Amino acid sequence: MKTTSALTRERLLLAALLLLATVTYGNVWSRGAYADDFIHFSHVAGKPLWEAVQSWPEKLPSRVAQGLTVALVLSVFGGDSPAGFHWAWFHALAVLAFVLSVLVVDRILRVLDVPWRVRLVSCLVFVLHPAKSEALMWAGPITGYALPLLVFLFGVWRYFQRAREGREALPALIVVWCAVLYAVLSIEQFLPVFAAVVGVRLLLFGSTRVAVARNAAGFCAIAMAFVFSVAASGAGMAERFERHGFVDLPSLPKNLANVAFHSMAALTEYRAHVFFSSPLDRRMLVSSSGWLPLGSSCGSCGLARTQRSVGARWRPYWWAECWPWRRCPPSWWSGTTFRREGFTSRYSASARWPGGC
Amino acid sequence: MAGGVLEVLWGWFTRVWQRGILVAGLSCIAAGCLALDQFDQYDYAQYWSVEEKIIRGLESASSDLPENGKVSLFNTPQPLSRVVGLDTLSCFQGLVDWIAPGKQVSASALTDFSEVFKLPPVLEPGAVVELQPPGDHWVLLWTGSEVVRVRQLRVQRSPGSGSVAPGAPLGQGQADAGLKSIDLEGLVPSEDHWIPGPDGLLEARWVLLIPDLDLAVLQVAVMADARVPAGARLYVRVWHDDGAVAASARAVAERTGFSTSGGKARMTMFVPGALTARGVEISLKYRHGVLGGLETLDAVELGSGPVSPFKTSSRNP
Repeated sequence: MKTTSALTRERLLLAALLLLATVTYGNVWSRGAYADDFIHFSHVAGKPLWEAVQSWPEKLPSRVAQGLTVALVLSVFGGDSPAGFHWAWFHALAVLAFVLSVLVVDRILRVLDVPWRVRLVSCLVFVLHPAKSEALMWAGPITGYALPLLVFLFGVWRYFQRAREGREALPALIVVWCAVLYAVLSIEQFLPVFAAVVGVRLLLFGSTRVAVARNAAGFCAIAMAFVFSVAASGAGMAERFERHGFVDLPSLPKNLANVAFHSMAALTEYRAHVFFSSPLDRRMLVSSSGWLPLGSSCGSCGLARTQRSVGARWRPYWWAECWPWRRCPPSWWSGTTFRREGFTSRYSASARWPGGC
Repeated sequence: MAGGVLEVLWGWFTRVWQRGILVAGLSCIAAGCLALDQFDQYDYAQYWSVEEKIIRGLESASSDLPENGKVSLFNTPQPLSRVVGLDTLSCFQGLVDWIAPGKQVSASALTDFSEVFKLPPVLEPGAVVELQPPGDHWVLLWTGSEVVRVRQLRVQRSPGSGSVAPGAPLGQGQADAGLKSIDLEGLVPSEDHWIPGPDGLLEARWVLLIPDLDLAVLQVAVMADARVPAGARLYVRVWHDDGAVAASARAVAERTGFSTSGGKARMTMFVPGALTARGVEISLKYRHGVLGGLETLDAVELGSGPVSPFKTSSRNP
């Protein structure tokens, strides 16, 4: 069991991190709309909500949910006229969504028993990495990335938590799938990410035949809904894929490495064109904001195994031991070990392994 | 991932001073990221301060916007950061559609200035010509502090050597509600300043100077053929009396404001601070080579021709 002082320390540090996130992006009163935001607003302005959503695929096929978000944003914050748009409130909502995303990332990593130090640093990178500042300050990416990311992360958190606690009831799963569907229909990149999430869940939290069938059915339903929305959008889709590409699973490792190393390179060259009149003006990966939480957890998992192999002091995560060839907790795993190492003991032994060991 | 790396390093570094260095390094990275985020916020705020004035001005005059008319916006400031400017894609069209839905107004940004105000090919020294846009065509110009509607352009060809004489005060035209209207006074230098590159890749000409706005309006044409590779960029550097140098760059592509027709990509470029400018260099450069994952630029001098009062040079890939 964690001591009160340890819990207080974790909570205080997390609270400080959330405060840092708010301060970092908090100048909401000075921001507005930019460039293609006006195209988005002109497309839904003056139309009933349903008509705006229906016509959205003409503009951005496969992103039906973003049309819904933009229409809702315009109806809530639009004011009487374009000049009267309540930009400060809208951008305050974006910052709030981001702060909540940081909190949910921490919760997800906690479900995976990632130590508090790792969680804290992962969230610190997630908060401060400048690659996603565009997604937090630009109205278009806010509706396309920041808000769907929060919904997606919240769904993943509940998904993992219920699976680990052995309370994966069908109604709860349907709620999760709806959240993920909204995210997928906002940004198509969430679909392969969710495939990875389902794989992690089946790998780590028990994979009975029923669980496999149910989760696979849920993923297939979301994928089918996505394909249907793409097919229903008609012309323009081919052009969009030609412009942006689509899911390329074999290149997933390369893309993950690109996110990591491109981000590091971007940190060194970023702003060079401003400081030194350099002609470089490359755009960094907006979608990094979606990949960072996944990369953080996967990286923690792999490095934890490395940690064990190099003889580090703390035990490897229990889930790092649970690869397909060894599904049950190792014999050394016990509540005593976790209490001594300071890991969470929130979950009882029976709840951890719904499949039974 | 960063958390995992730090955890591994934390396990390796057992001494206090080692861990102190680790935490200090992380703090430095965090401080650097925090500074970059603040820069981003500043840039977005600066650019929005411009767009907000354009929106307020246009909305206050939206009732007077002609149905099925046309609006051209010139000289939109370029944002410093990753924000896309109004002159790309159909952003300005979207803005006008949002402000005046149902009016079917055609909007464009940074089109060819000479298409709106057609300067006569030959203008005798000292001659004056008055140019007006069509009645259903609004011409908006960002002056550096506000957006104004240009109703008339009165151009005089300089009788002297091309030096810029102090201009007359701006003529104040009829004001729309919330959108200031002005009549511009322009001055065309006495010499012909068409400077074709050796291979005809780049042509540049000073069309006119607007002393009251301290602006120079420059016509640039780049040959749109196979010799100009994709990714070619146009660079404009301006030297001023006080030694200051201002530079701007723009990709030679239709989506960044160039209009391509007749085998040429044409654009009007606005050079602020024209009254104190001592020289201008126009270069065509292209991306070349890859070094350490970062693309570098290379340019080869093609030729140059001194132009009073400005110098223009063109570079060939």
